[in-house]
Amino acid sequence: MAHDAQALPPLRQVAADYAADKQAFSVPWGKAMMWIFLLSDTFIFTCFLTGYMNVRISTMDSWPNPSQVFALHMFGQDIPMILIAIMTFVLITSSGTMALAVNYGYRKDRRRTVQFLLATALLGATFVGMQAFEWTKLISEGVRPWENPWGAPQFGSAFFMITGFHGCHVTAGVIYLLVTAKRVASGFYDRKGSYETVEVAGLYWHFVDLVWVFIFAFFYLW
Amino acid sequence: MNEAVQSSEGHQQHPLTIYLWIWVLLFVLSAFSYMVDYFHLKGMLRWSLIITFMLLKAGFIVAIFMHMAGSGLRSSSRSCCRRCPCSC
Repeated sequence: MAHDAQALPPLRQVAADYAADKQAFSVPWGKAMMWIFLLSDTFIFTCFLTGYMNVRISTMDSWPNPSQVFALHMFGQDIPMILIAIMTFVLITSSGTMALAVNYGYRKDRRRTVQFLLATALLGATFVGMQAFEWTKLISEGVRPWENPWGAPQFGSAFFMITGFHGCHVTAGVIYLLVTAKRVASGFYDRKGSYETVEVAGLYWHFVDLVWVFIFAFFYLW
Repeated sequence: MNEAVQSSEGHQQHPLTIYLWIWVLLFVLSAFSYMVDYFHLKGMLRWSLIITFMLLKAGFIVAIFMHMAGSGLRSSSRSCCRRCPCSC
């Protein structure tokens, strides 16, 4: 109430605002919750990456050279890290199509929004497929969470944990996008009068891309 | 679209071209990161370049794709910006 604002000291006003039956943030609750979830997800990935850096620094064995481990034999020669580079480009492209989907969502262009959401999901599925290929290749070469043929045994555990957790996020994101696309196609958000949910899905998807930027830098390139 | 458009809800939108530009930029920055490895750069030069490109990419994703830049969160609510103490 208006007279409260003058009557209460600032800290009490904050308490009164939060205790009152009204909206604390003037954004849709879904968006606020997504940001809170993404914040907690940031903590998890930060733990993984700091844990990985810690074992990499402290291990007595030499760390396997990612440039060689992730090389692919193509066109008669070993190209370092080529699969990871392609995966990075696929994920960045999917972030671009997601941004377009959100944009068309706000224009209430149902058909285009669905098209770009499906394109994003397809690119995400491609990414997961390539990751499965990478895992298969490394497992067949003898990489396990407790050992590998090239050096520090912690390499495997860090690799499977970090890329696996990220891959789960991408997989969940693909499902999330497909569900959102289905709802957009059915006209659900037209009836609701807001395409806000598409943007919330977009936040999640861009975050997954963001995490990959850090994994690419710290795990693959370092 | 070269100019910002008003949607039916009255929110101002980023023009589409900015997303395409950011996409190209992320592409180029990723290529640079890859080049760091491809040309076998070592030591401080390698690490500083990796971190520079990483932070640039992360910055563009958060700022443009996640709408934190400019009049941040503009697509959902402008009043949020008047309330929150961030610099948006």
